[in-house]
Amino acid sequence: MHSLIQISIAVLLLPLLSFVILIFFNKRLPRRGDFVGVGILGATFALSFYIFWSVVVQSYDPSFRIAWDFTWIDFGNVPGVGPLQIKMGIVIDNLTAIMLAMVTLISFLVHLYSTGYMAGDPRYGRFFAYLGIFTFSMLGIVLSDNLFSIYIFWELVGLSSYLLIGFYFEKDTAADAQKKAFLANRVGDIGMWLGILILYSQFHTFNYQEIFQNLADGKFDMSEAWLTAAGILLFMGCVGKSAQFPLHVWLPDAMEGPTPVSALIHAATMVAAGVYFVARIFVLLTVDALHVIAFIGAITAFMAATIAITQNDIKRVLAYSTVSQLGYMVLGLGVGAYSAALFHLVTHAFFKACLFLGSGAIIHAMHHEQDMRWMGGLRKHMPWTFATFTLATLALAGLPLTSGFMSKDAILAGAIGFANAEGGGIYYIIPFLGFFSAMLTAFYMGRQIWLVFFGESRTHLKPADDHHHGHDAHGSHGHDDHHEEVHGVHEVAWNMRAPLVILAALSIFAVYSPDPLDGAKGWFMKMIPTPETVVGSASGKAEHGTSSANHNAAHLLAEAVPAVGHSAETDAHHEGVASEVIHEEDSHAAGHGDGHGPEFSDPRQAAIAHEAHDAHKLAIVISSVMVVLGISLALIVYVFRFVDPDRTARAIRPLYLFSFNKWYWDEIYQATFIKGSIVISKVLSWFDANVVDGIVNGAGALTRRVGFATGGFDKYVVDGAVNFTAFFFNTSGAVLKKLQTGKVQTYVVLLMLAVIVYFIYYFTQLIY
Amino acid sequence: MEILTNIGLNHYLTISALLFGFGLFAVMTRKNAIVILMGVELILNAANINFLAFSKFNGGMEGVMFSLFIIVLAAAEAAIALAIVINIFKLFKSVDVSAIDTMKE
Amino acid sequence: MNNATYITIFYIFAAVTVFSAAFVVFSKNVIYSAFSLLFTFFGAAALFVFLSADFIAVTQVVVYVGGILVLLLFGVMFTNTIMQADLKTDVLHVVPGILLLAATVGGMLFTFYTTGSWKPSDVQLEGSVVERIGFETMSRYVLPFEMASILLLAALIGAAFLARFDKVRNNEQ
Repeated sequence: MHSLIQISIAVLLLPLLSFVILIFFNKRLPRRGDFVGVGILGATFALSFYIFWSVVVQSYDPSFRIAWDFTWIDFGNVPGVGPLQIKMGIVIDNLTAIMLAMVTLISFLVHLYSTGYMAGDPRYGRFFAYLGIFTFSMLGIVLSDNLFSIYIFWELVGLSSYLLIGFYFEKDTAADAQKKAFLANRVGDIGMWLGILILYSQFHTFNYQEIFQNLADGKFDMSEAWLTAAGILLFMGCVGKSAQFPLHVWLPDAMEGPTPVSALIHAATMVAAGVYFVARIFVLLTVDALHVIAFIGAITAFMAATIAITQNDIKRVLAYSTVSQLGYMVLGLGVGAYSAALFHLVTHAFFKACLFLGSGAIIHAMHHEQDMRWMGGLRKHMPWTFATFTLATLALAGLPLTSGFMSKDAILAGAIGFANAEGGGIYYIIPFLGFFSAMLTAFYMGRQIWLVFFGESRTHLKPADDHHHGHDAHGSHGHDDHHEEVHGVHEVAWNMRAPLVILAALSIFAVYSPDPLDGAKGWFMKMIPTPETVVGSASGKAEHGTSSANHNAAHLLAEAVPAVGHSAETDAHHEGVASEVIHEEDSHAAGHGDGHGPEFSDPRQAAIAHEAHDAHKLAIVISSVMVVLGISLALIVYVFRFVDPDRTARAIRPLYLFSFNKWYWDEIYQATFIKGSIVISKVLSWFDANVVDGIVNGAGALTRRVGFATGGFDKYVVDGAVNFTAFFFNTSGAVLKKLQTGKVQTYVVLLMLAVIVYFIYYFTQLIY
Repeated sequence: MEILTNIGLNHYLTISALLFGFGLFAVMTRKNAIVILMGVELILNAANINFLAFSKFNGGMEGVMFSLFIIVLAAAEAAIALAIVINIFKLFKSVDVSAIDTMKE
Repeated sequence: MNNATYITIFYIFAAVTVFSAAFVVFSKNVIYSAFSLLFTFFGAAALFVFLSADFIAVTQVVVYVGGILVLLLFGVMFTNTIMQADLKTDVLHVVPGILLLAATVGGMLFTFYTTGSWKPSDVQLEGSVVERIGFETMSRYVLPFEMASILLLAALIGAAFLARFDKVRNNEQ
């Protein structure tokens, strides 16, 4: 076993250890055991960083990959199926290494931050335990080398998300939100499971590499539509987990959880797991599936951005912003900008975690006030928070010199390239929505910054009857102090400030790339090259015909596929070798050097990559303009007040309400699915009450009649016989009991008499 | 006189029958529980004599083994029975079995 | 040992056995009965020797005289206050008892002496059977042997349990 694999197993299991210790012993440990969680996560991060350093920095090889697996369940030779084994395994490549470092770093920082934010909570220890199991599950997703184990960990993160959203389960809103999140995720996960089963039914394996290899070898027997369906069904898991349209409704409500949880789970890691998963299965997605994904992502990005404009709750704005950014990532995957989407995943994780933790600091300082309308003027009181929050905001808005600019720009360039390569038409909707959302992002973030940090304090403006709105059920802060003036606001302690500073620092361009305008020159996009598809493309099929498409793909793969790396891998598998290091001797490294994408053999991917490269400068210009436009708009409306926002809102009241009420999605679901379920339930209930119960009652009545007749028989005939027997024995017993003297010896005499009588009988028999 | 001088099976059987009769008489008539136990021991001894007599004149070992186990059984029986008698004495302050007629009704 | 001596000794022991047994039954005094029983057991042991069962005879002496008789004497002393001079016991069912005794013994003797089917085997037990008892115990009768040991253990525990000093019950009386 490779030493990195051993380390990664330790990384995986350490947070589980933290969970076990804390869930059982937190009340017996000093400080409720928070140092255990923080310490273990610190160690986990150190080990992950070692893996990151070894894999990404030291080897610096885009096709680096080690895998290790073991047979988990061996069903033997199942009739009708053949040999059936379920394997578990770990794969470490560049993506895994980066994700490991990112997840453990953010998790560690959130643990640290929570020691301040959650102080005094009655379930303080349990909070850290839940964070532990979440981190364990998330690392499981990252490390999994097969669909089955990723599904297990997928459900585990769903569970930990459920537990943490409902952490303040005394509040009805929190309990409702956790149920909503769980149910919405169920819808997506069902699809994902069906997708896994489609692939399993074909290949009898869950392992990514084996599935891809089989696909490339053309072993998929069903029609192309089934493969598309499998891709879209797998994507449904992402739709649920990453809160994509139309299952996005749970994520904003999930903000009922504690703010560190929002930062860790609902902004940085778990929701990104959906994107990560789609990236893992990227190569098996057909062109049709990719189109669906691209449109879903674009719609999500746009819709969430429009909603975010009008929200007043500081966390809800960020939540919709998260949905919007996740839409960007999915859009990026859909248009084939694989590296850019994952790049955005990582950069977004850092700056959005920073934003959430910053908003947590604000909420903490404001004594659990979440409504931005009653904030303002915090810049002077919380300079550290202000600085880091602003830096992260700029990154989110995508201003040059930030990480967000590079990654978002790369996605948008990819979108333009995609639209050009697909030949225009409706495909231009995707980059258009992307750019428009970028402008909206800049606008609502500008609005938020201004409302929170600038101007005068508006705490006193808050209506008296509104003061329960937005309160966390937080034990240490009474309800009496919320009318305190803004001078009661103070900067947070070091353990909450340090994570903000670290995360903000990771939002600067220099971490990722030497060129602030081009992320493709950075190490990240070089280390995560876009993999070659294994299912062929539409143009490829058009040329070669359906029958030859699979041969075509197999041929292409055999030539050069860096990420799939089948040659050594499959041979080793046949020989039963469990782990190996693959360094493909491939000429692609040269291709990465000059900042261009890899040279694809697939004509469609090649075209998109080429167009995206060409569109790069255009994207920079357009997105910069859009961002500046958005920020200017925010300045005009909120700072210089050329336009009164309230009056504008009244002027376009239908549009305002449409956005304010989140496009009425909750109401639509209420009216369709929920009402529909209730109607169906009522119909079934009527059927049950009238038809099923009628049958049951009829049977009951019949049984009663029969029982009545039987009862008569029983009463007079059977009971008569029984009573007569009892009477007979009672009478005879009364006679016989006279013989019962109670003296044992009388019995002996009687016994001997009987023996004598028998003797006499015996001898009479003997004589005659 | 031959029947008196030629000691055979019937002599032993006669002794055994007499012992059995005395034992039975004790069990039937005596009120003292201890004496009843003695009667039981006489009956067992009568059985032993019978077994050994038949064994002797049949030439087999079965009777010998059986009487051995009967002695074991008698020992156990005597111990338990005396324990019961002592318990009865504790309870009724008497070993008169005719007074112990609680089994009547 | 000539035949006349043999017969004489047999009759002596037979008489001791039968008469002491009769004394056991007909004596009014329990202590006398117990001591008389001693002679019955000795007589029976002697008869066992005549029946070639020397091992059984020794066992008879050891178990009956050494164990059971002592036990019975203990029982007599426990259940009759020493200071109480009257150790006599009453009788009941005397008439039916005597009748039944006569009938039973008469019936048995009648049977023994009229039945012609008692045909002694050609091979009879001669000499000592100790060695054969040892073989039989360890081979054919090993299971009854083990069960007898379990029975004795159970009787030991049961007797101890039944006869143990029960403070609570004594206080109640």
